[in-house]
Amino acid sequence: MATVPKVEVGTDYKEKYGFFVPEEYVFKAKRGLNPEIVKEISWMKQEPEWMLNMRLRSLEIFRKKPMPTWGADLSVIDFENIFYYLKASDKQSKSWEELPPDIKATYDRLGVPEAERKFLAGVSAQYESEVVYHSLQEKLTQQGVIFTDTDSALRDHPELFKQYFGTVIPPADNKFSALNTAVWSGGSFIYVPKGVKVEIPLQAYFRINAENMGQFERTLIICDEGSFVHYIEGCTAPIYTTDSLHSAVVEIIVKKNARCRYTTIQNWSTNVFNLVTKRAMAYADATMEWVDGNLGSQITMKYPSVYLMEPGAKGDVLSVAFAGKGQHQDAGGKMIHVAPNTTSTITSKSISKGGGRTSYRGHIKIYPGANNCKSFVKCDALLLDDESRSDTYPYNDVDAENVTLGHEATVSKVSDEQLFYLMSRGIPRAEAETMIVNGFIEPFTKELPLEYAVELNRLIQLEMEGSVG
Amino acid sequence: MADFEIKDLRASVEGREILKGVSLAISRGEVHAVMGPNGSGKSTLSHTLMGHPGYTVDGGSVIFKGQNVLELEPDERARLGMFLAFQYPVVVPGISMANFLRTAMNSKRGYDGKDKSKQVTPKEFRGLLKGELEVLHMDDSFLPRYINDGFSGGEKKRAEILQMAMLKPEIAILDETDSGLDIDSIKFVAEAVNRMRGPELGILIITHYTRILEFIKPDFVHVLVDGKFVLSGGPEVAERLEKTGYAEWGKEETAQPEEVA
Amino acid sequence: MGFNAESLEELRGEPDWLRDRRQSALATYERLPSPSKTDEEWRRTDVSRFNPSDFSKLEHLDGLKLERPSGLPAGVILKPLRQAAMDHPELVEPRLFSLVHADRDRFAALHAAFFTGGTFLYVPDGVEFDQPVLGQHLSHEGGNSVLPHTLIVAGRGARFNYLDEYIAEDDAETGYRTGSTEIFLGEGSQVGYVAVQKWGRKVWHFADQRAELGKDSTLRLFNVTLGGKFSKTRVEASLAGEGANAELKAIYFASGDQFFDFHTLQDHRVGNTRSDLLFRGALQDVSRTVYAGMIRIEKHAARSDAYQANRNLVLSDKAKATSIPMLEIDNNDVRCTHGATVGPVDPEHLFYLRSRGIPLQTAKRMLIQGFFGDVLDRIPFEHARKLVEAELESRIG
Repeated sequence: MATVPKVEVGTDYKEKYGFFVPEEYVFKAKRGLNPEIVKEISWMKQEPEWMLNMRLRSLEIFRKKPMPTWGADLSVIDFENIFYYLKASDKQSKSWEELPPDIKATYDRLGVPEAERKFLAGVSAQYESEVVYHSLQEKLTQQGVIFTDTDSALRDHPELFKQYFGTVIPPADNKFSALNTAVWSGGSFIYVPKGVKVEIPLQAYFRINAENMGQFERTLIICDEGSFVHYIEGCTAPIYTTDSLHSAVVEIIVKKNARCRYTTIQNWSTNVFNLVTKRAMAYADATMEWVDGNLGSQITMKYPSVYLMEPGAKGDVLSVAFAGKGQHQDAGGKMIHVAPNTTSTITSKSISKGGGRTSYRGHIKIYPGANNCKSFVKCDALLLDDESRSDTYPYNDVDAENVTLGHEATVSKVSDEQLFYLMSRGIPRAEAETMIVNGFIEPFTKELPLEYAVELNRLIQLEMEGSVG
Repeated sequence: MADFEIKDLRASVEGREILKGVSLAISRGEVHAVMGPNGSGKSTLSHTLMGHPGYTVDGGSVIFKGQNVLELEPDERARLGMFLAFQYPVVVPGISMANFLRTAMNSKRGYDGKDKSKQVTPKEFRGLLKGELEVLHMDDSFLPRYINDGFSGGEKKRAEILQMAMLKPEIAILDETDSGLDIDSIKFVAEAVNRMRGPELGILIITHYTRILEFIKPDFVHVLVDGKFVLSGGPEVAERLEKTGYAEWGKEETAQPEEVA
Repeated sequence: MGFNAESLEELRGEPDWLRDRRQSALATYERLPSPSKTDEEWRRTDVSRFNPSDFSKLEHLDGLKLERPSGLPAGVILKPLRQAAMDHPELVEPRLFSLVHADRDRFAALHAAFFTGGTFLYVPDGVEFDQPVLGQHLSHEGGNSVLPHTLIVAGRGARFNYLDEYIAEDDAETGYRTGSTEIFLGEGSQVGYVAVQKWGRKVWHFADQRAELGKDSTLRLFNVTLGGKFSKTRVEASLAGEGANAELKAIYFASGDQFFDFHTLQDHRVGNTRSDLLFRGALQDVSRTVYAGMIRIEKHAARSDAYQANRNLVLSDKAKATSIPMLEIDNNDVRCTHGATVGPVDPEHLFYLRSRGIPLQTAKRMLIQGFFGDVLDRIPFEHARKLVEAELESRIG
């Protein structure tokens, strides 16, 4: 388990993540969304025609699909007031030193190069719309591992790309997957060859710097048979008075006997709308694990899902959401059992504070013929004061035989008894509360690499101090 | 003037008056025992002294180091030098014992995340721990476990005394530390407590039974019945209770436990 | 022929206010569309093959048999609901359909327009009696509609038990059936209410039960669902007074091609309220059940406790149970727990029993009885408990 060193009190989001640097761009598309913008993005990227056509088709789907009427209130998003494409650097670097100084300074301040030196096998850094830095350990390259940005992958690995792109999440899946497919830029592309196990995590860091920016990265991960990869993403943005939009699509294919773990520490500033579609297909005896932490953003709607396609496939979602003042975290997970003898678990831990709202929204679907499946969902919510709100909306559809399904949920406040016990040992109230909250999410924290566990506990402490936003 | 002075303490639970004027002066170096039958107010006394939110103070004062501790938060009382060994230590999932202990020690030392010189070092922590574990016949396998989670009754009580040893209080209240323990566990606990005895520590043992007092010899014994002290004296009071129980105050309860099988 | 203004004429001799209400409910019925599959409540509940007009012949008045406990205390009113509407408008008019709203959906409207043969029970302040009131709703023939409605008013400190039993003469009958209930609990009152639904196996059944609990009142409500080819029951408790306590329990046993739907609501509107819900169901053959429950704790309802559990024992590979437990919590000083399980008989348990020589079918029966056992103990009064045990025995055995 992760033991957490005493953290520094007093730094806050603004200082650590919320800074911005003056905007200097190589290319900045006009505000708003129309076929011209989409063509411009595709032209800038010198894409093949099939991709341009797919983008334009997706734009039409986006136009036609209604906004979701469930979940959080999205009516405040003004799609015409957003910059859909910003290019901050005219080339991608393989060393931090080559980056424009202010961008390098940004990542230094966020601690990304240091993390790379210490405990990562590869790093990708996306600034606005494009990936500006990329690296992968030589050994992994030799083993045939591909870890690159998605634009480069389209250029350098066209066949692999075309075979999988848009197959897990087609543009018409939902309004925001259509939007992403129309204007996507950046993101990670990972291919792990048969039997290769990437023991050290790969990381991508997503940064929005400009105001009214829309970031639409597109990630595609293919784990070939018997392989393993752990991919971690982090994200932050400055605090502006107007909103930015982050709408990513993540597609993952986990083949026979392979295992993929995808960890997110989402820490957008509270002016970002975070509307993300994440889905994995897990084949025979494969394991897909989503470890999904949502602390930032104004509104998050995100339900990582696993399609269990062949017998023995296993899906796991471990989700933590923290909603402070003005935040609505509508998160959860979906497990779609297509094949028999598949298993899934969803564990959700949510914390609401200062009028924040967390909603667990989940869906377990077991298709006809997917017999002998097991699925278990556990949701615990902690409400830290009487202004905050917590909801639980689990949807279950079982159409198969001999299925075992369990769902448990609790909602409570911080126990007076626990608080008193800690305080009786001399721990001040605020710190005792933070400890209890960190204890509450410990099942999540312990799944993170140590450095991230420390970071997460620190973020929780910042949230508990109420200094964010 | 004693180091720790309880004066005319009155307290209630959910509107029910339990402590009806309790006075007691404890100086460092002394061991006091408070004995009483069921429902006499023993646990109300310990919880009120430590500031449990479920107990209402209706009057009186508790002066320690020039302050009325009744006005302090529980953690402030602890940092001032008080310690309560709980009768029923609570389970707190998700927080390891090690993390809990270190955080408590750092708090006591006034480490607020800035002045590293006040922080307990891993070496110091291990050193302190090692000695105490031996006395209590414990090993460090409980450290990564969650607070009291899955601990047996005896383990919980020993873990309480371990915390006391690590936090080095000046006034320690042991609330029914002997209850639910077999004789060996009582001996280990008593040995650890006796090791801590000395001119710097005042101890208040709260107990129904005389048995633990055979191992931790008190200097003073007070009998609590219906929220008031009815008798105070030296160790001979415990001997008297051992023979006659609480009968002379109209309570049909002995002061000797049933044999623990 | 159908449910229209003309068929409403059949129900002559009612006070004007009730006629107006029926007409307005009929207008609502005609106005509202059939529930759509996109509506979450109806997504898994298919009513597309239900055409009420097929059953527009009303069986009424003689459908109700009221068993009056001997020596009912003075002041207690117990009569058929239509009779009570004439005799005691001051008691009935302000309450009838004030909890179960006629405009909630098409079926609620249809019931409100054409209900007949229900019961009215009024127990004045401070009146208590032990012997339960038994309301038996009988259907004598198939192909028609039997639409009883129960209205119960408990005065301050009143204490009593009531049983609604929905009985078919012919288990194979078709038809349209309802059995809705409104219960008003005055301050400090204690009401035990049991509904046993054993209509014929081919009928469409819709029931709306809703209770409003005043200060310090206690409701023990128990449903037993056995009949119908389609049965939809809404059970709702509105905890409106501090200290109110609602216990909502149910057992259901679905077999053949039966479909049961339960939607429950524990609405904590004020603080210091408690609700405890447990629905246990067993399914065999190709039956299907849907349970969806909501615990809602409103903003100022501090110090409330709410529990909700739905357990499903699936005895056949082809049977399907869906369980959707939901929470909406707007106050932090609460304790809320819910759980749902769907699964087959535990093979370890089965093996253990069989290893002692118990044949498979007997062992299964024991496990099913064990599964229901702790809920059966919660049936609020002896008469109903015996009735339910006997029913289960005959269906499981």
